[in-house]
Amino acid sequence: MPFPLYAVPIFGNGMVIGLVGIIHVVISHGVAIGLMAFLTLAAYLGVRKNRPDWEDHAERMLKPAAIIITGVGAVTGAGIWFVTSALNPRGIGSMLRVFFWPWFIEWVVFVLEVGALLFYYFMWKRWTMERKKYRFYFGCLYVFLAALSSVLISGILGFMLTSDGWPWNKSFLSAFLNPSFLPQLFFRLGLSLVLGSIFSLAVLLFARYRDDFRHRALPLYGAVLAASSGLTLAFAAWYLAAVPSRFKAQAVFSVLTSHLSQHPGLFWAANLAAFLVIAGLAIASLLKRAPLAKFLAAPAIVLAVGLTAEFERVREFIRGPYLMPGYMYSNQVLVVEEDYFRANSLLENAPWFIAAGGRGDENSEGAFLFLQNCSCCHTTGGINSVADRSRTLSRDGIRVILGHLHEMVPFMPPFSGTEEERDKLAAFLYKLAQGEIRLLPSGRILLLRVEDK
Amino acid sequence: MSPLPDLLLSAPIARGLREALLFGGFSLHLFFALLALGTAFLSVFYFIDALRGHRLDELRWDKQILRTFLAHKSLAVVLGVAPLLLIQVGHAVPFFSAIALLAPFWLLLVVLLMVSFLSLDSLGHRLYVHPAPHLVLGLAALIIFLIVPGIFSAVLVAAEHSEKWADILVQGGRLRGSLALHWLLRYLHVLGAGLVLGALFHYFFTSGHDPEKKKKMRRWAIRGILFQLVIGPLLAALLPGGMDKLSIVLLGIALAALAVFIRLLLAPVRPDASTLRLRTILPAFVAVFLGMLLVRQHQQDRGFARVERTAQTGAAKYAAALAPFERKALDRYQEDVRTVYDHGEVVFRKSCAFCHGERGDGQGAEAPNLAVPPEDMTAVRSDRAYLLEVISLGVAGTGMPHFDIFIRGLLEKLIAYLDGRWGIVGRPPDLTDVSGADLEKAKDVFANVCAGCHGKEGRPTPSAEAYRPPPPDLSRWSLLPERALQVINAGYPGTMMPPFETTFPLEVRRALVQVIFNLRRG
Repeated sequence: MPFPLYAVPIFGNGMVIGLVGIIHVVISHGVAIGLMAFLTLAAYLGVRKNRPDWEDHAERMLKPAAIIITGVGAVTGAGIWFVTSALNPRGIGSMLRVFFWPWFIEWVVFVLEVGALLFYYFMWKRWTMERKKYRFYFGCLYVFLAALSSVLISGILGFMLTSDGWPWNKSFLSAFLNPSFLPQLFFRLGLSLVLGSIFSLAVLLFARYRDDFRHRALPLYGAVLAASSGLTLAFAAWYLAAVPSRFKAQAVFSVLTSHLSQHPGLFWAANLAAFLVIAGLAIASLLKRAPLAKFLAAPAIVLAVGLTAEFERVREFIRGPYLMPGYMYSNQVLVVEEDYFRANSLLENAPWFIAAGGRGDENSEGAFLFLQNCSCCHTTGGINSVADRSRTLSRDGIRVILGHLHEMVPFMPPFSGTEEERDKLAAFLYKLAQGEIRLLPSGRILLLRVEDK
Repeated sequence: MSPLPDLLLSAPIARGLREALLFGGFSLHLFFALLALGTAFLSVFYFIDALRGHRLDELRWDKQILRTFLAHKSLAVVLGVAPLLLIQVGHAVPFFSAIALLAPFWLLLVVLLMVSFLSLDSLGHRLYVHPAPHLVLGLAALIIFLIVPGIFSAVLVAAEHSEKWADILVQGGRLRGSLALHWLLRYLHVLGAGLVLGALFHYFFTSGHDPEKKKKMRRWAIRGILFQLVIGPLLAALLPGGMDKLSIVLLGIALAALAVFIRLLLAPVRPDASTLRLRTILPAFVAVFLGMLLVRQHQQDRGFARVERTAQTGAAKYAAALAPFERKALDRYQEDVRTVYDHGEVVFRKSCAFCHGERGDGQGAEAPNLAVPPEDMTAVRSDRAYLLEVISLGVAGTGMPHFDIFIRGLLEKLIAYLDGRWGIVGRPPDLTDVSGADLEKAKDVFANVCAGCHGKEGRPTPSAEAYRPPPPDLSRWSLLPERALQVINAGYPGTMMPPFETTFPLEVRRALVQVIFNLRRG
């Protein structure tokens, strides 16, 4: 492996990437596209109908939106990159090479987007009288640029699930314009409106406004929320139809995880409840029932963010065991390396491990085999701990399962290494599960420091 | 062209263009990052200063300084993305290696940036009303923000010094010795530059026509330059690996520009306070800035080149070694995508058969490698709920894992499949040829021998539950008579179940099978 490996304690590598990603999606979709679209609409109504209360509504959202978009949205956007660079360098490095130009264009769009936002924010108060129309024009420009980002990112993320003919033809177009590109793009845009309408609805409900304005504005929000929710559901179905059955079969499990996998009813109940609350908020707004809408707003925000997180979780999970289907497994091992390592040893091909002097020590070798094979998803004592997963297993049982990981658990990559290395990893996992050894905190890079208890 | 087995060897953009964009992108990023640093420092400084002297006017000015932070930091972030992209494409080995070596600090960046940005951006809000919380928030945000360039500098220092990677690794991701000193000087140099740039920016853009404010800002810029004049030579003199000719020439040019810049900055103050002109000071500043960055870039390239040459040849060799495995890997992938784990047959074939055997007889390929042999599934007779329990929770102390990796519906399909094939759901057939006397004897044996572990009613005793593996619940689980007798005769290898072939006569052992069957509740 060309780069050193690092395992995040407690949370695990996958969870850290997921957390940063989900925060980014909620801001970039919900605030940058969604809320800013409503802000622009409010600015438009303010100018067009000469209604200062609409203007005031737009202005009230502008500063928090600018702070959140630039302070959290942009930082987590670059942050996903930061995090993957450290935790999955081979994955992100390879993706960058397939999608260099989309990513470069995405950067140009990103610069324009933030530039437009700053211009909008600093110019807002200077655009008075006749020039108020610019509040609408530049708002539209900003939302357009923000939405353009999701076009580029949909192609790249879609590829990670539906790589189509790329593993064989290595064609950029077949990778970018993959089967889930369009449905995902539309889904993301729909989701942006759902989140944006709920967020701006919350501002309308809880900020200080005159009651008559609130009553006038509510039905508009309700209508957009209802329409965009319906569309988003339809796009979700379209998206799901584009996903190969092989991956789709893991969707419900990806949400429930092994903790709840034996209670699948919870999955349907929770999703239905989320849908009902959001629909309830839309109806309450349509019917101008402000108190009911206020009551539902906070749960709706939580549930809409939850649904967004659920979507990203499903999308990221079901592509397992692949990071780039047909090319690389989630643990950064190339599909061609599976056979290569079986014949030629993983440890012998781990220059960093050898350079650090880990060879020869049984525990260190086992720990490194864990780090390379498992640590992209498993921790050694935190979330999804491998010690918990193998606590009940006999040592020979662990060894047998290691040899059949991918066929036994379709979303897990196969074990990479020789037969002897399989024994070493089995011994390590068994000792770890039985509490005979533990990893020392300073050994998170390459997991070199292991202590016998 | 055959598709490369390692994408990291491919170059999606021409080298010259990439390096030019990298230099341009990084310069722009750094320009705004330094502005953000300087602005953060000055705004917190003047906030405290205004509070101490109860100067409302200064506080108002401070708010103006603070307001520009949103723009500086936003542009620094977005402009930083291009260098990040280009360095990862152009210099993957040194950059990713350094990041991974300093991973905990690098990951922390995301949190540090978010916290400091949100705090500094919201600092101005109702500043006049609640000064105390603002003071705490501002100081904390500034300190957190100042850590950020320290981490970036550390990553670049590590990336440029591949000869120290093994040391850094063994030291658990710490820079030591000459690298640590180099890092410190580099970090301080960045802070000094931030102060100069921030002071100049606010001299021109937020001080209005107020000579007092302009004087203050100019003083800060001069202090910053003095600081740089101390740190800079030290940094150059203590460079690990020294400088080559080109670096020295570039540095000479930058220093010449610096002399002009200092001359302009120190020009005598005239009463109209228009001493510094943006038209003259900006070109001089840009010349110093770009000159210094060219030195930096060249030094960095020298550091990177050392490791990149060897990495490139090594990677090409490795790619060639992988090539023969490609065809098979792609075929396997195609087969894998076609295999859908959504019905019982697939799950049995893929997840069970390697131990329990394609025929379910417990003779799978891995069976000989297990101390506790996999059960002959064709002989199992149990109820659905118990089967679900066993499959989803596994059997402790054996190789039988907890299959909660599949949702309940799929496990139910699996059980339906097994039932369709071998009739595993239900009771075993009773033994009709067992005499009443043997049955009585067998009942005694069960009560006195077996129940110690299996429990009087077939449910394992609490102490037996702790065995690895524990005995099955005989009130819900049976084996066909022949297999049951086999287990009684020979025991269950790898478990606490001993053989009874020589302990009891055959009739009693057969009757014992029926006694066990009679324990079944359903």
